[in-house]
Amino acid sequence: MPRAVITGVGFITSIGNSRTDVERSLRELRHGFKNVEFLGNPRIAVRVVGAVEGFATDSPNWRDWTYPERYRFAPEALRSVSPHGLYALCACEQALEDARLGAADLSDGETGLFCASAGSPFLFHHHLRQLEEARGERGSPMGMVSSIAGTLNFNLAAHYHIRGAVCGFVSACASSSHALGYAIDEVRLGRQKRVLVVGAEETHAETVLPFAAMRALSVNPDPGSASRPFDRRRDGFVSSGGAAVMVVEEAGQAAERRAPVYAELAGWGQAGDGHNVALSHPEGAGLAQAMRRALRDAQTPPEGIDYVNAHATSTPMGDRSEAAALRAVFGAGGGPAISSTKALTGHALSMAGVLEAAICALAVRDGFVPGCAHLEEPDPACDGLRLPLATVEGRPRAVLNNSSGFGGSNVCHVLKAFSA
Amino acid sequence: MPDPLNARIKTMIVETLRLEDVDPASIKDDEPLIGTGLSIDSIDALELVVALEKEYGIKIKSSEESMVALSSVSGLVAFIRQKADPSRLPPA
Repeated sequence: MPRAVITGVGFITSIGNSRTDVERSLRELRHGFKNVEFLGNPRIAVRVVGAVEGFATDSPNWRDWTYPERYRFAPEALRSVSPHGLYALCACEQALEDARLGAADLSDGETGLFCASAGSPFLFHHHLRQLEEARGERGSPMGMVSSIAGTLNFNLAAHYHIRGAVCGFVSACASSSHALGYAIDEVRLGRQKRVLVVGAEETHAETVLPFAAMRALSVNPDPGSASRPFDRRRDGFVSSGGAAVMVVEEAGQAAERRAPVYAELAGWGQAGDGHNVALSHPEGAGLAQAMRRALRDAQTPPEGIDYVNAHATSTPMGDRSEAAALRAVFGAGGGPAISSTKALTGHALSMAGVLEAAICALAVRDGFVPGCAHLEEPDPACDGLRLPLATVEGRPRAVLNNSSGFGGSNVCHVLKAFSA
Repeated sequence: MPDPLNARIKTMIVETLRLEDVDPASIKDDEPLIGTGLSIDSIDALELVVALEKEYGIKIKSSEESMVALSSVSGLVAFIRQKADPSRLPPA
């Protein structure tokens, strides 16, 4: 069976806009949070966000946006995207350069594109308001393609002339993990030579505040402790956005091109909780099953995993559920090192899965395991789990990346150091 | 003396489409607006239509009508003078 490897990554994130910056933040446990006042309303209790630097995208008009000078996009590319589409374009440029891929490679029909985002509630709201003001008679022709879920795949497929498999994935915070999982399959089944996997999100009020209505967000105003997965005092997640891109490629093809390889995507698995529309299963039943399926697919026993990048978003119930699932799979004591890098990045929603898989790729290639930032008083629910506080040097043999989304949709990937 | 409606429309074109390096006064009165020096295409034109409708309380009903209206700055001035409530126009 063909093997799937990672040949390129790109990051526009709260902890850095390049691979080098992201890796430095991870190693040094430097978080990407700052205080914010949503909608200019000081009474909104949510005060911390993981926003990207170097971009100004507060206006609904793309002509007003600014972005780092190293990227240049034509008006035709920008007027049909939302802010997170711009982040995705920038992250794609990085990943393609990293993987040494040119324009002709992408339009060869053997390259696919799998994307995940929630769309842009910010821009969608703007366009609907405009439509309403005109009593339905006048709307922007780019309103739909720039803002609905799917906007990433519409735009990136057109921009890069992708002629292979093009698709979007919608499973809330597991979305880009599904995108990556199916990309692995696409390559292993020999259907595509490579697939770009893209996740992106915004931190505008329209994306973030609906989660406050669910009471899922931290109301801790301190950027240094608002996101503290597995800590006894955690009180919700901190929202973040940006874009993360990964180039998944067939190993032989990568070797032929002499492309650098980060890691092998050795397997993946998914399972539903069958439990609740928004809450995790109290014992993490679906997540445990997804982990077992990923391990089986990767032909790796639990003892073979050296690091787990947990989904743990810093919500009281979600982290407890994941801790139970991890204990069910790895036992209590002596298992893999576990951390949630959301302590640093925040929770990037549907982009989280591919972001964290890319973080795992850096860990495998460059030999480190990020510690548990902001963890001071581990929740007794985590007893028996190995939660290193500081970054651990040394190359993990294999790592597991966990994700969960609404409706109890759980997805896990196994990455391994690659040997031909 | 320059026509204030003419000047206002040129400013609106520059502002709405963020044509930062274009001096409004340099836009020619009789040159086609779409597909010439200003690089305005049909999607930009629609944004311009929305802005003009809002400012002057007019309706540009069909694409044929908008082709006529947007033929040039002079065409636009004539169209707006004909359709808009005079109280919304700048005093000549």
